Amino acid sequence: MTTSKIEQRKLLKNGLGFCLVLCTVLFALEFVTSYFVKHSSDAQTGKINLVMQHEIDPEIMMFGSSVAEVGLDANTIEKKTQRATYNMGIDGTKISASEFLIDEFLSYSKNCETVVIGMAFFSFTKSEKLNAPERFLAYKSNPFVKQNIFNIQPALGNKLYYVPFYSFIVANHTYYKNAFYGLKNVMNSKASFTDSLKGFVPHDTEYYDTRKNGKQLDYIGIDSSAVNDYKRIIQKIKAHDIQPILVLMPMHINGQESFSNFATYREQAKKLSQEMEVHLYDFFDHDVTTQDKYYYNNGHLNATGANVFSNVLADSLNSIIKTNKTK
Amino acid sequence: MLFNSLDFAIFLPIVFILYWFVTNRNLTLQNVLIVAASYVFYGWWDWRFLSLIVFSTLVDYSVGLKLKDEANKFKRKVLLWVSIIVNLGFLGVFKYYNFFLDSLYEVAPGLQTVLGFNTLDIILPVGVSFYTFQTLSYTIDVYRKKLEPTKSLIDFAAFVAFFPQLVAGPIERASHLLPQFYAPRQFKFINLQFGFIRILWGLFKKVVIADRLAILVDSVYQSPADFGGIHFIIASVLFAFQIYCDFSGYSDIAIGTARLFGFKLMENFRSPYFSKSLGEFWRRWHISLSTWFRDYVYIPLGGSKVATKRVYLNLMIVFVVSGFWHGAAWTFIIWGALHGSILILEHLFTGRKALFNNAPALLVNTLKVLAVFSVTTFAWIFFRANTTADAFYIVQHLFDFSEPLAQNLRGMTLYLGGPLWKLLASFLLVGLLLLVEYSVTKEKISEQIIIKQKPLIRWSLYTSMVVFILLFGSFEVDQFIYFQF
Repeated sequence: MTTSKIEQRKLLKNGLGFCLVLCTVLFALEFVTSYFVKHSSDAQTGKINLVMQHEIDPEIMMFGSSVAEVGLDANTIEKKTQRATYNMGIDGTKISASEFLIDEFLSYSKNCETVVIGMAFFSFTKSEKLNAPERFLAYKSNPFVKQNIFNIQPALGNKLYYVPFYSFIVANHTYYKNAFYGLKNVMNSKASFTDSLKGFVPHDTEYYDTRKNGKQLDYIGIDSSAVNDYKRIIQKIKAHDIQPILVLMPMHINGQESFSNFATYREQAKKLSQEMEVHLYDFFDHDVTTQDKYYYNNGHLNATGANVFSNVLADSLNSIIKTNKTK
Repeated sequence: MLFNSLDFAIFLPIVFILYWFVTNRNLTLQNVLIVAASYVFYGWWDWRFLSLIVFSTLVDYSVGLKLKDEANKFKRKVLLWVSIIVNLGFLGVFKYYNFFLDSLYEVAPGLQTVLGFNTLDIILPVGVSFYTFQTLSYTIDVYRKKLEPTKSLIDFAAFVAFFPQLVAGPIERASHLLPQFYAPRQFKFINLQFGFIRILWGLFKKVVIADRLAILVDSVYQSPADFGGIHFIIASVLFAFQIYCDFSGYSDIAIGTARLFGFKLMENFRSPYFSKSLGEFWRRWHISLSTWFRDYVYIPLGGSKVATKRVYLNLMIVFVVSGFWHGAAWTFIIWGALHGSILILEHLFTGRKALFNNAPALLVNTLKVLAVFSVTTFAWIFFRANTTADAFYIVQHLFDFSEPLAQNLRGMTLYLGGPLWKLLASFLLVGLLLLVEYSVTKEKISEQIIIKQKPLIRWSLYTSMVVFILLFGSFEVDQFIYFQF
């Protein structure tokens, strides 16, 4: 046998052996981290875990981005409407990126009567990238999650599902932090995540005007695919005999005035609600929007503002829910 | 194609298998494969860039052959200048044209209407500064009759475009790399092991250290007005390590990748931050470029064999040109001039009676290392700053400690949106790097030592490295700093 052949055999023997060891370690690590992440009760991941593991089934479920997360006080709404309520708002996440959560929730919910979708000014803008995909990485084998990733970012989907161990590239310190919290929960035998605020994340900070020098006006893009995302999701909710309600979350007047076409966004939301025959609450003209004490920045309500606004919203919801009952 | 990309992770094994298992019986075929793979690697950014490299290859190959047969001194010089004009012409158009025009119009705004030239809307081809210098060295060496020109266009094209070192060096000399394309290459498992270790270490430096530090450094340098003295010092110190890990990491991956194919590239870094003088720093930092400037600029200018004043002028010229090579901006020129000036000062004081003659050697050496590190870090401010105005702002406020340290640090980490441990982790990584580098200089760690270990230990080490890179690496930065040059 030639030297070259001997060396090539060495390569095959050692290369295959090492690859086997490496793959085993990486596979085990991938499995273990995702297992523990599923047991985390921390922030967004904790909330996602509750839905993905079918641990909550409120009568009023609220979805949306950070404006919903910090602006909808689930306990206040629950108290006023006398219906179990949960705030499933996930920051930085458009409704299309929460679609897997809605799908999963609809697939098992027996109690839900109403789904509230809290909308922000960017709700109809184009989205080509998933924000913080590590949040649902542990559930990548879930068909809804898979479909959601491929819908929004097919390139990421291809890598995540067809490149071995690509999830290590997507995972970041938040993911591993959650794995650590999950490990702690498992060690402490914490059965499930108890969330007294029911998904609501109050911010107790003072108002800060976040306009860019107040001179240059921004433009809100309206994208037909984003509008279609809403239509699709509304149809799905309706198909489960659940009432969808759109809420234009109150934005500080300074924030509203920092856009050149804010009215277009409101009109588009109105058009959507009429076409889909769903209730729309537009709170942009509400008194709340002119008072600094209710906000921590131009887009987000603070804890006081959330409480005031949730009372207002609960009153509005009550009238609809009562109407439904009459029906 | 980036070394730290999925594309490269797929590309490399394919080329490796084709190279050692399909074309291994035919040297020409192997070299053809290298050329093809290198063009794919380079064209992955933008296929239009390929026309430049192909043109440069054809010009220098032809000039090399003509120089061999040409005895007439004048004609030989003309041929040399053809190569110089073509190669530097590329750099001039793609890299410096807009800078010269902008600078000219800034000094004399009226000239724009008189001349009528406008800046060009062009992008700088990746790695153009590297491969033009590599091909230039070939032609100059052939002109100087230090090197036999190659008759094989394939070998020459492979030398110019060799993908491991094509876009960010090491800038190889034809006399070192070209003969390796002539010689038959035999697969050796030890080369694979060596290459694999170097690639892993390079990746570690890039994605775990450099890209992690980049997050902190970038936030400060993007908006200096939001920060104060302590932030500038921390960010600049971290940048010193970021650029080192980014660039030397690239070189490590390049050297390791070349080794997989049986090639030995020159070392580009030798623990430069352990240098005890600036001169020593430049013998350890970006060695392939420093020696290029030494051989093709400094020595032709007279080097150190001329009057002292002229030596200083030569040094200054070399460093200003080197700064300009790094980028078409005044910040780089100032960076080069700073190094040149300090090196001149160092020459002036060489041989004078040392201040700490009776102090322990360890203390003296440590102080020297710290002094060199401080000087180079200070110069990095100009290298990293987005504009000269930013650089001078940072320098002016470098020692502005109006707020208490703890408050400053908290402010910095809050601004970055992360806790203090992120900053501490950055320093831990730097500490780890220095520990490894120190062990390498003391020959406590080396590829050879690792390779000699039992398979269980080796595999555990490799696996740990891979896991460490995957767990702690930052995969958001999609560029190497030196690509822009």
